[in-house]
Amino acid sequence: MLDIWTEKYRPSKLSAVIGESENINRLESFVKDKNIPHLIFAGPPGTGKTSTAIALARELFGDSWRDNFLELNASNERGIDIIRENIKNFAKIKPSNDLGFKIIFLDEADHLTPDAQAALRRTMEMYYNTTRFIFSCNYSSKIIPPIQSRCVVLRFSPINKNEMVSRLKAISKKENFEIDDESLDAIYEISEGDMRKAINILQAIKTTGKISPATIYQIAGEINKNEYKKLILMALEGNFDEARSMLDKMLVDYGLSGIDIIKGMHSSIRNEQIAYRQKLQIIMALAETEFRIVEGGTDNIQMDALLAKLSYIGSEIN
Amino acid sequence: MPLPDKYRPEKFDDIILPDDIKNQIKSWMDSWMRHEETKKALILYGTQGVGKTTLAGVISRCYNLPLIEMNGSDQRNRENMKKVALMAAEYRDLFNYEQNYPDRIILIDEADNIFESRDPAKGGDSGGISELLEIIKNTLNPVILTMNDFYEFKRKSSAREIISLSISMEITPYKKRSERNYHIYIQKLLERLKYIASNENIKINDSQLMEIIKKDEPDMRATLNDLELYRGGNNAEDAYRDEQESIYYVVSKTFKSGNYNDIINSLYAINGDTDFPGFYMQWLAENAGMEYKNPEDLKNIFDILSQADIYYNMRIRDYSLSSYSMEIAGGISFEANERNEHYVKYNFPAFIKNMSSRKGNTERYNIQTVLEKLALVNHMPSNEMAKYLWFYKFIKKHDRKLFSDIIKILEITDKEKNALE
Repeated sequence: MLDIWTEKYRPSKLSAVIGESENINRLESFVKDKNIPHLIFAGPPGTGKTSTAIALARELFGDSWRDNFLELNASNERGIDIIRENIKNFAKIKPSNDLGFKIIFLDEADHLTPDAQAALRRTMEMYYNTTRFIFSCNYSSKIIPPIQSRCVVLRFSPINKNEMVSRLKAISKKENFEIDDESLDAIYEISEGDMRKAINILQAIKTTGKISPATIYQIAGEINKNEYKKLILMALEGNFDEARSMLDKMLVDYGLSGIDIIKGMHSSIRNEQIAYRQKLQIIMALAETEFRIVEGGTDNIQMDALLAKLSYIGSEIN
Repeated sequence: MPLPDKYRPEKFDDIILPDDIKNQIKSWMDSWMRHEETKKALILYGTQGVGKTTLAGVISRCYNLPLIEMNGSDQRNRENMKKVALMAAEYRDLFNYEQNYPDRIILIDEADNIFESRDPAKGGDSGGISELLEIIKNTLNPVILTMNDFYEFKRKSSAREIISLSISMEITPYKKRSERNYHIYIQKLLERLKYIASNENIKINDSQLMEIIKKDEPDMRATLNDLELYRGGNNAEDAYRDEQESIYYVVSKTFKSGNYNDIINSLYAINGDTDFPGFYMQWLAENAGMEYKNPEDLKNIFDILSQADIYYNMRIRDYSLSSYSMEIAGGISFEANERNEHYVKYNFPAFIKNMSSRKGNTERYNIQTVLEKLALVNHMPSNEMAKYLWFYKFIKKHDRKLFSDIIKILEITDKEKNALE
């Protein structure tokens, strides 16, 4: 097994998953009943959606969990037909467990178009006897109501500081190194409640051998790079077309979401020297765009609108 | 001058309408010329843009009689109608009038908008229809009425009497698409458009011409207006396949035409699948930056577009939001202060193109495949993986041992490795 800590320390039991204890209690009672409804796991990245699903499968199916758990994701396997084909092939084979059902974990279900979701709804009904679906998504609002009404929705929120810090401490202990509280605080600060990011940072500073808040912030700089700052400056200078093609690369080649890019832009300008009034306008533009994306806007159109607004703010400065 | 006015037919032969319609009109006029008229008025009804007003003009020209017109913008009240009545029936040469009449043609355009109500609260016009009846009874000159909605007109009081004193004809280039007249219509209109296009130096190919003909049929005025959009000589025929032509065209109309009703009608005429509004908005987003250079206009346009986009995506809750969104997107040009009068060549949305051509582009391909491989061990989608890519770049620099393990186990190629720079 690869020495990647995010995988190495992925919890194997529900009780070991940190985060929403209410969710865990409900899922444990499903395990006791040896049956689960269809589920929707909604929440930001790194808050335990996949870990919870895998832990649930392990508790339900024991060692044979891999045979009874199909991981699919909506954004990689483009085209609902491929997804349905995969689902059909998986669901056709009789479950190799005594519970009588298998689990299909569909990640990024909110990336499916409403039409594709509607098609999926029929598939869900067709195979209800032998399969349960777990849909994972950032926003449950992007899941069509007919699917929502067939599922129990569990919400995941960013990991709180105490839980994150104690988990990081436990990992460092197993890896045989010491880490001070200030460094842990710094990791928490940068991670924004994303456990995967936090563990990645922990492993990264371990490899440098210099464990201190300064190193951690240096790494954080590398995470954000200057890409986001460049994007903002380009737009402010009125290079709308150039900014658009840079945005396009981020969205398409790297597959970043609009929200990721907004967050990156936000943290990159927070400490920039910009006239206060313009800074206020920029932050408001970022907030409005994030708000519209969360409401259901299409990433690239909303982001184009943001760049147009930044160009306008820039033109007012000059 | 707009093309429909510049190329308005001047002879019966140039009018694209079935011969029997033209013949019936001529024989009605001939009866007037021989002083044997039994029907004083001619009612021409039909949908817009088929040539009702044009017919009146051609009659006036062919019979060499001036056309006295009361057009749609005049108020149709009793007083105004009285003036028309005077002009229609006015005698001038007491001794000779028998020989000299008719000496003019009276055209009352859009007669279905004449109000009969005597109550000013119900529109202000009053008694217009009864006055119209008086005109027709007493006229010494041919009266031509045009209207869109004959059946609505029929229901008005006094209208029945007017109709009994008139010849009513539906003006339409064809009744059904299956009939011969339809083929004649298409053929003649195509010929006519080709002539106009070459005369005006508009570069447009036959299939594009057919497309605007089909989209607007039987409205020939709209067809000619649409021809205007191709002015400026684009290379659309090389760059765009047929299926893209209609979207190209409606995008161009959205930015350039300045006629909101027309834009909305074109959008509905496309009759695309349920994804059409989304596709349309991608086109607008791609090209708005080329069309509008003023930052304030660009900001406002995108603000509206982003709002339309939200309604479009909310269609999963309320389907009718989808059509609002399309109509809002269609109106974006009215939010700009300046309209770009220059020709702009519109591009296919890069976002969609890049999404579908990632595999063709090696750099993009390598980024994608390495993300997919890393995503697999991390139990996550590859696009989510991009956010954590920094970690692997970091490992590459600082932890050789782990990095070579990753390369070995995930079978990462040298080219993919470069994507981690």
